[in-house]
This record gives sequence, structure tokens and C-alpha cells, in this order.
Amino acid sequence: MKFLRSPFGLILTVTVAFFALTSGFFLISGQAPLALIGQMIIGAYGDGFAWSETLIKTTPILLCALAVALPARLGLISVGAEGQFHFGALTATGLMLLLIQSPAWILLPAVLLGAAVGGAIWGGLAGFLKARIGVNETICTLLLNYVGIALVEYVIHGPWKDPESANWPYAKPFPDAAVLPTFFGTRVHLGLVIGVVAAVVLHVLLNRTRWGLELRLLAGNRKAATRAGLPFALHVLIVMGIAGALAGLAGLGEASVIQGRLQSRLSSGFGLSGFLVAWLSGQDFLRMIPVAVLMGGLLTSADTLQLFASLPAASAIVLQGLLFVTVLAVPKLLGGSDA
Amino acid sequence: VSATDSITTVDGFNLEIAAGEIFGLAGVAGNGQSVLADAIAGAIALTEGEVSLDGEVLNRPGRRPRPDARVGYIPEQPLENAVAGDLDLIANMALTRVASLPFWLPRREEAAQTAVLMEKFDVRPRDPKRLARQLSGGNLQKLVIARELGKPCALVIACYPTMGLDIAASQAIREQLFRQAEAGAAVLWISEELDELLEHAHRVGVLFRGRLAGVTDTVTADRNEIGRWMGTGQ
Repeated sequence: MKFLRSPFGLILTVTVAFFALTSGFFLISGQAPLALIGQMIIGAYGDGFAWSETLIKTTPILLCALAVALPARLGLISVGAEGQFHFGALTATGLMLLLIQSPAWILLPAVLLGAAVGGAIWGGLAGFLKARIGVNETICTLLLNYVGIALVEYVIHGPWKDPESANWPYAKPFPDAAVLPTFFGTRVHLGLVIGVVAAVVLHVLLNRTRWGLELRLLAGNRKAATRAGLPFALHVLIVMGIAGALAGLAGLGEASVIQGRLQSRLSSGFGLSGFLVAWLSGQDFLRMIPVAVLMGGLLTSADTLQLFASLPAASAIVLQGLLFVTVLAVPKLLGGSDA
Repeated sequence: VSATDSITTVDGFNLEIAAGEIFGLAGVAGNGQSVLADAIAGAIALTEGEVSLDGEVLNRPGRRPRPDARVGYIPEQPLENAVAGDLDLIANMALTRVASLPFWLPRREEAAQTAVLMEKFDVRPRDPKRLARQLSGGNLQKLVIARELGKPCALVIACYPTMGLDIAASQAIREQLFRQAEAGAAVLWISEELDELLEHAHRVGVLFRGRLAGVTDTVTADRNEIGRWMGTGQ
């Protein structure tokens, strides 16, 4: 029992429990579990192409996870990454359409800035309502998700619909000058670098600076910290703004590199996956990087499930749910601390 | 001074404490003691009036809560009002002077300073990396006192500082208050234990429904009169 409660023992137990539950799910679906799990691992990490697909999915998941974890470090539960993602993609697209004739050295920084500012506005809106009149940030960010997605739907069906799209609800494609740089001939793009750098920077800021200490104190005991003069409202605005900016950049990556334009179904539930990654990694920014890669792999391997086992794409969501439940429940059942 | 939190109100409270004096504020709990302490310490805003220290304004209406370096404030129930239980003692030691820290935290100096204060105020166990909630009630109170009184103070406000503590811890905490008064600080000691105040304070006042019902010096104090103030405010 003591071994099981050690960090290594916990990881081992969680992994075994997750594979057991996954095997159960596959058995119910009439599949041979071991062979299918093997196929999934190969599908996600088996070769260069698999890795590139995994990293492509990792990028928005990591950025959205950071957008959840940063407010969480102030004691806020934000579920708004999805809305910030969409609003960032929307404002970046708006700037792109405005400056479409400009050269890359103007266009690329403009869309990056547009996405960050758009996301920051969407996150900051919930932050402002929380800071100013105490609106519950969880409900607010949840509902703003629907508004953000609906705004994207509105512009692609209405004012920004590409006249050459044969009436499909698309905005004009991003010109090459506005597409984030990609690496090694794959679609893995600058967003991944931004995500990893942001995770490291946030880790350092949270643990080594006065700003981080203020967040920790406010999260630890808001009453005592505000009485000691720490400005809670200001910090809410700052963290929600930064969080929104990161999720907005994820939206830009998907719109410009992966889809090539603003369109429906821009996100494959990255906001939700990001939320899971943030909580699975215990809001630890550095731990979030490998966990996001694992989650990216899980989503990528959903293609394998469709190809080899004719399971629906929603199976990936089932597996995500099983993983989340396992990670949350197993350590508690063992009576240990966190994973 | 007038101030209000969501439940209690202090209104028309007027008091002057001399340097080196221990003023004991008695009264049944719930008559506005903690609101008054918060208001004087600058942890909440005043609705009316002014708090001043050596002729300098500490708190007035509209001022943002901000601790003053010359004020040592020990609020009631430290785990709820004075520390973050899930953070280590180093972070908790920095709580009331975060604003004066440099952007990049001097982590080694902070840890060393915490260790020194823990030694001086006998906070046990001597492990600055320990979480605040892992300390016993007495040691937690000593930690708050180390933070608040481990610097030169001109004003000390102690709200039920010995409540629920064992005899040794209570005595250690009282001694810190005496030491502050000897060093020239004005001490406001809020307590429900009249005997304790009559024994150690220079003057005793009674807070009744947010007002000062009466003040007497402890040498000529008449317990019946104090009892009447506490019960009826007259």
C-alpha cells in the first residue's frame, strides 16, 4: 500500500486502472483491447507523421490548458478557453481581412496581436464582471463560450463569408503571409513554441516573482490577502486577460495553419481537453507540457479507432473522460494525496 | 471612527492611546471588536472619521486597505484572517509586506529571515517550508505575532490574541505585548477576559454595541461599574 501511494506507484496504478477501464470499453464495443491499444499507441507516436499529428493537436490543447490553469492559480475556475479561442480567431481574421494586401512583416505580427488581444478581451470580459460586481467566473466563462462560437458562426454566415466559397460558411482563406510559420515540412506551427515558452515563463513568474507570490497569497486566503492590501480585482483582470490571449493564439493557429480560414467547427473540443489537461497536471505549468502531448496523442489515436475498429470519433471523448475519472479517483481511493 | 462590515457596525468611537500604554478593550464578543480592530489597522475602509498615528493619518473614508509598516496587527482567528493555510511559512511571513518586496523574490533571504523570526518568537517546528495549516493553534498565533511584532511598531492591535491557547503560549504572547509597550508602542489589547486586562493593561474600556461605554484606569477600576458597562452600556 505504501508503494502504491508513492508518486511512482500512483502513476503506475493510474495507468493500469486507465488501461483496464479502456479495455472494458473496447470489450463492450466488441474489440480486442490489447491489439487496439497497441494500434492507438502506434497511431499517436509510431512514426514521424504520427508525432507531427499529435503535436498539432497538442498545440491548442496546451494553450487552452494554460488559459485554464493561470486563473486557477488565483483560485478562479475558468471554463472559457473555448470562447476565448474562437474570439481570438475571429479578431485575428478581422485584422487579416483588413490588412490582406500587406506584406508578411506587417500581416503576421498583426494577426498574432489580433488573436492575443481578442482572446484577452473575451477573457478580460469575464474577469471584469468578476472583479467589478462579483459575477461567478465559471458560469460567465461557460456562457461566453456559446457567445464566442455564435459570433464566429455569424460572421462566417454573414458579413465575412467568402464570395468564392460556393456558399459554404467560410471566411476568406488566410494568405500565406498571414499563416503562422510551420516546421520541418509538417503542419506543426509556431503556436507550439509559444505554448511551451509560455508554460516555462509562467512557471518562473509564478514561483520566483512578487506577482506570483501575490497570486498564491490571494488564492490561499483571499480575505487575509485583500486585507493586507493585495488588489484582487486587478489580478483577476490580469490573469483572465493573459489566459484569454493564450487561448486566442490557439484559435489563430487552428484558423490560419490547420483549417486555413475561419470556419465552423474550428475547435475539436480543445477548450474541454485543455481544461482536463490543466486539472490532470494539478495546475502545474511544466507538467502540463507532457500531459498535453499525451492528450494530443489520445485525440490523434481516435483516428486509429475509426480506421481500424470502426468506432465513432466520439470514442476519444469517452477515453478522455475515463482518463480524467481515473486520475481524480484512484489517488483518493488509495487514500494518498494528489497524483 | 465609524466603520461597518456586513454584520456589525462601530459608530462614534473615540479613543486616544499614549505611546507605551496598554489599553485593554473589554466587552462581550460581537459588539464590533473585530470591525474596530480592522478599521484601526487599515484592513477595511472607514465610513466616517479618521485613525491617526503620531499625527499622521492611517485610515480615513475611501482609503484602500493597506497595512502600515509601523502597525503590528494580530487579528482574531489567524487561520481565517491572517494566514494562507496551504502556503509555506515563508510566503505567510511575507503577507503584510508583499508590496515592498522586489519583483524577483530574494528567496534565500526571505527563508533566512523567516527562520530568524521563528527562532526569536519560538515558532515550532522550526521548518520554514512547512505549510501554515500544519502548525498548532499556538504556533500559528506565534507565527502571526512574529510577522507583526518582529519589526519596530508604533501601534500594536491585538484582537483576542490568547483565545483558545494553552497557558505557556498565552504567557509568551502576553510577554510580546509587554515588550512592545516597553519599547514605546501604543498597544490596543482586545479581550473577553476582564481579569487578564485588569491585571496587565494601564486603562480598560468597554465596547458596547459599537460604542465606547466607559473608560477607567485599572488601579481604581470598579468591577461592578465595568460589569454594568458590559451589560447595559450605561
